[in-house]
Amino acid sequence: MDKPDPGALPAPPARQEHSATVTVRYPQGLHLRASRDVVRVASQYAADITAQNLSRSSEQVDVKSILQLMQLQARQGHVLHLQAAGPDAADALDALCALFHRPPSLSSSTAGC
Amino acid sequence: MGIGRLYTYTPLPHPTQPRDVEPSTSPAQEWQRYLDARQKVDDELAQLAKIDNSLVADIFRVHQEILHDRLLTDAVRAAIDRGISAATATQQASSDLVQMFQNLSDDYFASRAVDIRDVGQRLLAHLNGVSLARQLAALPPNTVLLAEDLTPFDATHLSSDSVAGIVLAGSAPTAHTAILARSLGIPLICGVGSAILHLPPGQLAIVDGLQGRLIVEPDEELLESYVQTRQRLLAFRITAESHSHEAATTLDGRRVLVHVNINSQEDMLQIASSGADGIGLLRTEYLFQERTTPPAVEEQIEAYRLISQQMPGEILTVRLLDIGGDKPVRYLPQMTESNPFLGVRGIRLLLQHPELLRDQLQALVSLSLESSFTGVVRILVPMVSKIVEVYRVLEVLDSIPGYREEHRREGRLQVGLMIEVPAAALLADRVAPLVDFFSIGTNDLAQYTLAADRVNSAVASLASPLDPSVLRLIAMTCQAGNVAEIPISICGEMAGDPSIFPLLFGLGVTEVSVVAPAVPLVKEAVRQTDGDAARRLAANALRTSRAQEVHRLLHPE
Repeated sequence: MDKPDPGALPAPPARQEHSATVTVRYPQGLHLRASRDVVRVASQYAADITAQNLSRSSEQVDVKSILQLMQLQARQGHVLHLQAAGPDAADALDALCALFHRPPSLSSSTAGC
Repeated sequence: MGIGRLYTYTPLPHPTQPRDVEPSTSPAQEWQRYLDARQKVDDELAQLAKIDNSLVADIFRVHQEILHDRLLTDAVRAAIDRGISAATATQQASSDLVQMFQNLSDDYFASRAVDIRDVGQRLLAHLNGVSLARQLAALPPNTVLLAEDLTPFDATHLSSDSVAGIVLAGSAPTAHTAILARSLGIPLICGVGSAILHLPPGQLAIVDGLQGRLIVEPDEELLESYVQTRQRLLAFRITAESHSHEAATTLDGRRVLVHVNINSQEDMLQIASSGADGIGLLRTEYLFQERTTPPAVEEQIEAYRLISQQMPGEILTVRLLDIGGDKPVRYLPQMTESNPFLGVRGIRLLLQHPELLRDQLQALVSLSLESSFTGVVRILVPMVSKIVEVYRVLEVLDSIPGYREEHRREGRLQVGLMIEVPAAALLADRVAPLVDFFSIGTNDLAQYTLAADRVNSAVASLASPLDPSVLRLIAMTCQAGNVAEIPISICGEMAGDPSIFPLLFGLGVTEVSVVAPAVPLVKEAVRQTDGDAARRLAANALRTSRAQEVHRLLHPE
C-alpha cells in the first residue's frame, strides 16, 4: 500500500496504518538541524512513526528520535519510506510530507551541524 | 605559537569498565539523579542557545534534542534498572552511541559522534562533578594538548593560562571550538593524524600555528629561536589586535586592503572580529558538493546574499566553482583522469558545462543588481591558462541582462582572473587589459611552477612560494597589472605570513586576502612597511637563485 506521497490511503478497520515515500530535498541531506525539525513535527502526534532509507536499504528507525534519524544517513535525493500507526497516523504523515516537500530554506540547510 | 609539554586528552574512556562500586542507592534514586542532571543540562543549553548568533544557537538547540532523545534515555534507564549508577549508565550509553555513529559509512553522519559526546560530557559533569571539565581545567601551565577532537564543551573549559597549544588528530574542529580556541589566543593545528596520540606525554613540543607544524623534542638551537620568535610575535600580535579594525596604510601612505578568505557560510562567524576590509576569496565549492543536483540560480543568489549581509566592508570576491577530477560531484559525468591537477578543473570544467557557468554568473549579476546590495561583486575566474578562456567567460557575461550596465557603473561588478598557472602569469600583460583585477594564488602557482605536489611529502618542500622562480612570475603579473592599473591581490598561505608582506608589496602587490586570524597581523605588517625599502627587498629577492636566500633576506640573523 505504498503511495508516492500522501493522498487517499486505504484505511484499515482497526488500527490506522499509513505509509508514504518522500524524497530528501535538503541540499546537505537530512543533517542534524533538518532532523531536529522532523522530530519536532513527529513528536506532536501520538502515532508511532518509522522511517526507512530505501536508497541505502537501511533498517526502520523511530522518527521521533534524532539519533535514529541520523542513522539513516539520508543525503539529498535519497528516498525515505515513512510508516505511521495510531489514531492520528494520517495527520502525522501529512504533516511530515509537507515538511519534506517544503522547499528547504537555505539558511537552515547550510548550518554547521 | 606555543611551547610546552605534551599531554594527551582522552575524553570518554571507551566502553567502561564498571569500575564504580554498586551504588548504595536504589535504581529509582539513581534515575532521579539522572533526571535532575538532565534538567540542569537542559537549562544550561537553553542559556547557551541565547547567544546572538543563529548558527551557533541552533547547535545548542540540536544538543537539547539529543539530550532528550529516546535512544539515549532508554539506554540509560535500562542500565540503571540493572543496578548501575546514573553516572556509569550515562557514560556507557553515550560511549555506545558515539561508537555507533563512528561506525557509519557516511563521513558527515559519522562525525556527528562529536555532538553526542558533547551532550554525554555535560551530563557526566553534573552527575559526578569529577571528570573531564576538571581534567582540562586543572592542567599544569604550558601544556600542549593532544586530542582526537575537542567538543565545544571541552573548549569552554580550556584556559590560556595552562594550555600553550592544541593539536588535533582529526580534521577540522567544529566551528565554535576553533572560535573559542582563537578567542583565547591558543594556537591550534588540526588534521595531524592519530599518530600524535601515541606520543609520550611530558615531551617538550612546539606548536607552530602559523605554519601548522608540531615539532616534538626540538634541539636547543631551534627551541631558543622559537622562544625568541614567540616573544617578538606576542608583542607584535598585541599591537596588531589592538588596531585590527583600523585601515592599514604603509609608512609611505599607501592604503592596502586586507581581505579575508571564506570557505563556507559558517566561516562568517569568525570574520567579524578579524577587522577584514572585505572578502577577498569566497570559495563556492561548499554550495556545489555533497548533493545530487547543482544549486539553482535562486538558491545561489540567496547564499551570496546571506554572505553579503554579514560581510565587513564593500568587496565580495566570489571565485567561480573550482573543482576537478579529484573532487567529483555526483551530477557531473565521472571523469577518470590519471592526473586531475593537470586535467579538467576550474574554468576548463565550467566551459565544458556552460549551464553551470551561466547559472553562477547569473546569480552574481543578480546579486549586484539588488537594491539592498550596496557593495561590489568581484567575479574571480579560477585556473585560467589560455586567453580564449577569458574571452569565453566575458561572452557569457555579456549575454546576461544587466551585466554591461552594472559593469560600467564604476566598480559594482568586476571580473578578475586567478593567476595560479604559470601560463597565466607569463601572459599577464595580454590578459590584464581585458579584466578588472588579478588575484595571485600562490599555493597552486608554486606547485605548478615547480612541478611539485604540495600534498606529497617527498616533494612538498620543493614547492616553496618563496622560490625565485615563483617570485619572478609574481613580479611579472604585478607589472602587467600595474600597467593596466588594476588591483593585484594575493591569496595563498604566503600572504598570511606577516613577515613576507614587505616582499609582496615590493613586487607590486596592492591587496591581500588571508585567513581570518592573520588579518590583524598582516594589517600591522602593512603599517610597518616602507615602499622604497620594500622595492629594494623585492629587487634583491629577484636576483637570488634559491628560496633559502630569499628566506635569509626576510629573516636576517
